Amino acid sequence: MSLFGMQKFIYEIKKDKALQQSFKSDAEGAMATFALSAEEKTALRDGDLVGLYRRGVHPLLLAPYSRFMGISRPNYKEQLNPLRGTQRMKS
Amino acid sequence: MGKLVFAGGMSHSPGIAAFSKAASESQRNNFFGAARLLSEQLMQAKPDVLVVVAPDHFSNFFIDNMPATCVTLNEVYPGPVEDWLGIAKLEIKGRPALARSILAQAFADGIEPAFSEDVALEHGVIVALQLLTPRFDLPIVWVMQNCQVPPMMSLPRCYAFGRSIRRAIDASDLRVGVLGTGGLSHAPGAAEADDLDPDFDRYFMSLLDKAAVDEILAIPNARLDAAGFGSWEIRQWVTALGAAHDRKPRSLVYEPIVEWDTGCAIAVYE
Repeated sequence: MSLFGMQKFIYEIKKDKALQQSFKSDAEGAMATFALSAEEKTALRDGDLVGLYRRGVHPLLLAPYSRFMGISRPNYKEQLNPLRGTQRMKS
Repeated sequence: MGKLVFAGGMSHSPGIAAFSKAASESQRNNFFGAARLLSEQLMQAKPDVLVVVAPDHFSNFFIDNMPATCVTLNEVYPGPVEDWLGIAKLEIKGRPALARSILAQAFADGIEPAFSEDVALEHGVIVALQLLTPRFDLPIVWVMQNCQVPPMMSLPRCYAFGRSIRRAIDASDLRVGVLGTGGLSHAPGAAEADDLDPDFDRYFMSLLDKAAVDEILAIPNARLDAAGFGSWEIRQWVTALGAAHDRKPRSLVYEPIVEWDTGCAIAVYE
């Protein structure tokens, strides 16, 4: 289980167009070299915003991930709305 | 003898560029009107270079190696990294000699920023520049401050760093502007993203207008957390305030713009 692995994957996919393409055509292969559990890979592959958010993925990584996954802003907000106030970030 | 010829603070929400029309006409006009005023002040100051103090939103820096602050030394800055901002890819000239002076002065002052000769600009810098220097023809030095992942520089430390930046400016032979960009209340990407905190934002702007530096530096972390983690970016305003410690801040606008997910403010330090 690795929050770091999930966040690292999203950070890399933000920057790496080739990885984006490979994630679309072969998600398992694209994630193979990252330290991810089967559940984490499933959450990433399926666009499971709530699952990723609950696992602690940073909102500033989740938002670009959602754009990459083709999730609209209204849909993003609707999905996260039930989690309002549950995981406020603290400095 | 170098000179600080301009200073200010400004929000930089990506929505300002990417979905500007989503905001109401009145809020949009108020914000863009104030941005034009700030741009005019910048142009009238005839700067050689603008030091932009701005965070990075996981475009160049990640939690595998996160500096508290990083003075960037690019000869040329490419950007924006985001392809959804509605801003075409461009290049902005750097001023690495000034950047190195800022770095050296910081070390002499007991502050040790990281440095990088190879960063790319993202909305945190480019959204503000699009409004202030729409032709992107003013060279910049980007001073990155981590405001995304704790721990972060304290507000007094940011102010001291700003004072140090000012010493480097004064020792240069350039006319220099300093812009702090970030905040105010917002929590981008979070479940509370549209839950702004106008009370905090107005309080912060009122402290600025009173030049109540001690009170600003004493704002508790918990108060910032309550305003949403995007408000951690008042650090950039404070750093710029340190650089402009002998100037008087004046707020130009505040609008809580839910459609941009941001309490949007602009101030000039004159």
